[in-house]
Amino acid sequence: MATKSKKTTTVRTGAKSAGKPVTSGKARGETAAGAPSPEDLDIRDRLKSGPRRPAGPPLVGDTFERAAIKAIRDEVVPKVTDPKNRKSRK
Amino acid sequence: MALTLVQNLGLDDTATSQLTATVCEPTAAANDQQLFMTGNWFASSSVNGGSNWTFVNPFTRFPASAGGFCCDQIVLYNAAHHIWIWLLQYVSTANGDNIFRLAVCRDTQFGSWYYWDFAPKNLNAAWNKQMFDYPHMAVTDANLFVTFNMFLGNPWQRAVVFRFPLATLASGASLGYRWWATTNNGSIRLCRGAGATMYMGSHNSASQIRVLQWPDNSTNISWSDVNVRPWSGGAYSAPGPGGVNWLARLDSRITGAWVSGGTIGFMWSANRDSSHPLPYIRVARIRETNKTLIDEPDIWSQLSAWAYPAAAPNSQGQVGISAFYGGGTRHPGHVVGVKTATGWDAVLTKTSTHGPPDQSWGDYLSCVAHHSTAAHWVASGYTLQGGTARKNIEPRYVRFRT
Repeated sequence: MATKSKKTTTVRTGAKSAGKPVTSGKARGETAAGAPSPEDLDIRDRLKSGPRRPAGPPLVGDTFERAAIKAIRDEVVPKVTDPKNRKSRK
Repeated sequence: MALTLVQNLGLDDTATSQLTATVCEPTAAANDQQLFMTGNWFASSSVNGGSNWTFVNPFTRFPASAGGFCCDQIVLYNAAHHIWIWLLQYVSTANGDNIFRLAVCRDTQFGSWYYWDFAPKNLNAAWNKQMFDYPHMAVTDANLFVTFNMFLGNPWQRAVVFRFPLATLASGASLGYRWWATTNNGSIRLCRGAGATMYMGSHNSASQIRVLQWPDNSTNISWSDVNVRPWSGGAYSAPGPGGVNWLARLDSRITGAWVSGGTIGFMWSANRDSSHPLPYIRVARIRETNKTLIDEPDIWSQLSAWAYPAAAPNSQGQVGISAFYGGGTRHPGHVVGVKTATGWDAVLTKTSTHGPPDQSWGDYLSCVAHHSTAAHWVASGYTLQGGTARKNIEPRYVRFRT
């Protein structure tokens, strides 16, 4: 089921320098970098609820109806995959 | 093809100091006896192959910068240069910009990190109010590649790709690097298993993938567009016991990518449609030579949803995955699996005892080839154990093989 791809586009990348690295010692303690309290982390955790913000341009065709129609017409559905229970050595 | 869990280790409170989050985003890497695992908001290391883990606090391990350590982290081990690479994302300042920190240590000095910081304004002075978010990181023979999205406040601005010479990262010398940005594609995913060319993928639409390539010996990046079977996005839902929808944060960005044996593969979470009663994993396999579609061996179930796939080839060329499986009668579980001649074999490493009350889960997992044991993979996962609080999140280190 080969689908012909479109032609290749090429662009040039840029160059930069980050200089030499910073050498880090052992843990610097809260005066250097503080850790949030458990309560602050609880708030951070709750802020993660809900849909993620879009992370790219809108995708054309990203709708249920169009894809569903296409799926009915085109798709040969592979066999289902359900995981087995684990069998660990350790 | 039987699949065996060689190690299946849950990290306890000592290993994480209870700095765990419901959106855990764990990653794991291994160098024989040295192991390192990251997640929101912990890091943890082992020097005895996982028998004991030592908590590493990402908030305090390094000097303060930007608004302080934020969240997203990735760890890799590069055997060719004997280095560990640890990426940390920082909170934005009041001005709106942030940094990511690229920390490196040699395996002979495990834990003695040196680092470089990168801010959007380093790339373009006009981007001085923008922030990096959602990293990915993978290597070729000669380079480390890092991708990020960039945001101005909340709106997405562009995706950026960095290329860092591994030899310079290992030597700790002055670091020259190359970069490229695009406003046409977001959430660019890097392939695991790359040799002399890094391949990357991003959706152009719900029926086309842009396959980008950046050879180690070139300063140019190029791409081809490949049509795939249309799929559904939108608002994902897979209610589990108690009606808890653990997929409210899920979206369709590509999360799994690999190249092996002349095949480039991409994986992402697609929404339910008339052929799939629950969200599932779309898979597209593409010929490396001419960028034509080979096949689309999706991973789906009538019983539960599949989501958040990560993928990598092992050094024998077999493709392994790490993903989540849940909904219906099942709370979210972590699964590892492998591509077979006829489909996929998968094994649950652990199933949650509860669902996430805030309906938040994700946003990514890791799966990498074990560097020295040819057939093995190292994967990260997590589940909720014994409750619904963030302290009940149990990150998981898994080593598996066929």
